Amino acid sequence: MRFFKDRKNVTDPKRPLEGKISSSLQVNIFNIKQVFTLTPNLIFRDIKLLDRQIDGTLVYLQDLADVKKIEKHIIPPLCTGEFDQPPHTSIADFKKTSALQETINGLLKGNTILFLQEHNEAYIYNTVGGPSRTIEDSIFETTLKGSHLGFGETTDQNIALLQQFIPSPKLKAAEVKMEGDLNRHVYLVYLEGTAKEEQLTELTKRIKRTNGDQFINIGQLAECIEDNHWSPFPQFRLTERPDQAAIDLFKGKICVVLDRSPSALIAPGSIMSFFQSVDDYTTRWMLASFVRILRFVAVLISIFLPALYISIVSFNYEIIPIRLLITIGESRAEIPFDPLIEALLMEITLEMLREAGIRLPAPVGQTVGIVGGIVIGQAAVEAGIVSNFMVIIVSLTAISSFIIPNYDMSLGIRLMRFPMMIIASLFGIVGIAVGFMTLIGHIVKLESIGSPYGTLLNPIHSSDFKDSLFRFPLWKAGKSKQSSKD
Amino acid sequence: MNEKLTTSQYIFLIHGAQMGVGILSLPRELGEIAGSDGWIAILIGWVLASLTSILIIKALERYPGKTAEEIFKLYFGNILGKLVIIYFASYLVFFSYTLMLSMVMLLKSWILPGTSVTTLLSLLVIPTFIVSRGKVKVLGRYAESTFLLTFWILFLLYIPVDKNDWLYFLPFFKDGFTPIIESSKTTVFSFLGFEIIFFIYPYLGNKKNALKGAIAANTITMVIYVSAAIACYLFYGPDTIGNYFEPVLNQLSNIRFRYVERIDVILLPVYMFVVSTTWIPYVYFTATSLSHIVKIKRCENIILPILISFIIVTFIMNQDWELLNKMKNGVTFMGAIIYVFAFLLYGLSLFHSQKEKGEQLEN
Repeated sequence: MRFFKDRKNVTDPKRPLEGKISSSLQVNIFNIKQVFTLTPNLIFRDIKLLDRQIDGTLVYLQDLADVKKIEKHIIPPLCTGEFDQPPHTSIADFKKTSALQETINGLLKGNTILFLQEHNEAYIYNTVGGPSRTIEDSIFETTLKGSHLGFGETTDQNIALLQQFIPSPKLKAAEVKMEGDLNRHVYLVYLEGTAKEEQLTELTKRIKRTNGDQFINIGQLAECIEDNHWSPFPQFRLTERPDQAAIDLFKGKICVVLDRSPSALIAPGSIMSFFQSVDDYTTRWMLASFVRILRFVAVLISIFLPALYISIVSFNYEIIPIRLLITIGESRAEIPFDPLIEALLMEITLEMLREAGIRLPAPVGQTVGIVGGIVIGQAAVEAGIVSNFMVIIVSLTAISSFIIPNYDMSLGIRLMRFPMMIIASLFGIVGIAVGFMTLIGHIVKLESIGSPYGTLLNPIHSSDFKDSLFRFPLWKAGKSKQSSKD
Repeated sequence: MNEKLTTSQYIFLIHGAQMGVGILSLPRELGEIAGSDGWIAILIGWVLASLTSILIIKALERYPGKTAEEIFKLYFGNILGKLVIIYFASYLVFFSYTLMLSMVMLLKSWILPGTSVTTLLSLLVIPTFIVSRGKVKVLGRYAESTFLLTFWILFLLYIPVDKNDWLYFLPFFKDGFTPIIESSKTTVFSFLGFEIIFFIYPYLGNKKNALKGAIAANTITMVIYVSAAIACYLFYGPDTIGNYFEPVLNQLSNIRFRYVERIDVILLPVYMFVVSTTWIPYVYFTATSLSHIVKIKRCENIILPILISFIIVTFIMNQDWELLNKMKNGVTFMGAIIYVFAFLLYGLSLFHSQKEKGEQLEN
């Protein structure tokens, strides 16, 4: 412990800066320069305020600040207009400060600082510019009929997108500062009156506790604030789609937006929400309900099908009719491995193919498809390493896990397959049942910021039952919402 | 005590605790004594169980914020109360172990004849440990989800039944009332499990629904028992039913689909879910009552030692059906005492309230 304490004292760069802004312009500039050594894009622009010949210096970080804005809206009014408190500029978003640290934080965000001779206060003008990307459709969560807008990397942009979807003064964005030297913060966006108060306070408490210095993505934040670390399932939903976030906000959830992260975190998570997509609301309710049931069937298939195959082939062959058994037996007759090895071989190959597909550049990506399809599919069967049945089962599980709309959830379900396969190879169908019991027990036990996670399994009191396994017609769902408010 | 159970969780916890392995052999046991009138005996058991549940709730009502163990101490004093707690703890631990063991023996004899009992029991310990560590709220959610995931098994029982067989039931009371009353001894104990009310009543959020919920739970159990018994009588007839040890399972093994040959092999592990809603809460409540005797703050820490001792005991002992039957008889005997205890507790609570009234009058 002592080692860390000492180190903190020595390397703390802010130590001389805890003070106030000096009334001498030179001292201030010297201080700033001392902090920002080896920062080539730090610009000092000396200006003279016309009326009283007051010296001033504008400080900003080029490329982070919008230089055009500075040249157009700050410098001309300052140099030509009358001096006043505060000085005339045409930028509305500015603030006065006397703390040096605040000016440094402002600089790093892309703001422009105005120091004045014989003033122990500085002005921070919002000139945030810097590199940013235009709003594009989310590549990750594609929809057919949803809006083609995706979250960007800046919080302002993302909150604005949400405001466009929910134009209501009840949409609040509360700033929450995280621990740490870098002064990082997130915004909690929620609908006042709809979001639950205790969930808000709990979430705020947890975010305040985390050290946000090294967060580059909101996934890291999710891991720090989740309830149960020993679970394969994601406990918060991360979405890149503002329309999805808006739907969740209407349901009373809270949306956490972190700067530099193109996805927003939706809290609290429930297992149902991972199987819903924006498209469910754009298609007719019968079809949407059908697709949702299809997704649950897919989950069951992708967790249990390989395990069931193993248990039927190696233990409980009495379950299936004799003719099917003979077909399977014929296809397995020449296979040298036992079913578990056969299944593991194919499943692991599949997982590798999928992982390879994600990181490869598009032109090379086709090769994976060809290699995977022909080599793994056909050649392995012809060589007699795996049976035809196994290839069918692996393809089915692969397709089933693609149906799950959320990538994090799909990952968790992919992982669950392996323990199930092992336990099925040891105990057959009893093993699968125990595995299922454990899974249900685990899901039922999970909580996300204090609210139950497995609401699918106890729909009796979940108020949004009408939008869970089935999607009831909207006019019905609307009715239920009103009654639950009373 | 900041955890609250919803009414439906409360109902399904009671119902789940009542559904054990008993239902699998219940139709045979009834059929042997009362023939096809056996299902009427279930109604008698239901009335008695509901009555006892009501008495338990009435007795607990006087101290709504206290746990069962604290209430026992309040009613009986410190030393006698501790004895009651010890009795309950031993009953719960014995019950849950017997249940787990009989489930394992069933699995062994129907599906996995080659696997050792100890291995299978250790397998069941995994979900037990995971769920029971989650406290009462998780137990409630688990019971509720289990009911929703498994109640459809009941309908499968009616697949092999023909229409004409209803004549087996006529006339009612063909041998008079005596065999029915005699067989109701069996049914009264197949409703055991309502004593979980002692432990979960303090956690119920809306105490007004306690009575209704308890009766609803008993009724659900009754409906399931009666319909299973009727399905078995319809299928086997009153004479052959005694030939099968677990007629319910045998009946399921007669179902054949084009794509599934032996559905009982699938359904027995699924039924394990239903049985687990008895032993998992019981293991947890064993831990809570033990924590009042041994003075441990976090009762979840005792769960693992309890489960490990289960495995060790199984490893040391030689299991066969005879021993299991003896253990079941033991559990039934201990359960009978709980019936008596419930009446006693109610009488005591009446006495207490009368005394309080008298004291108020004196003042």
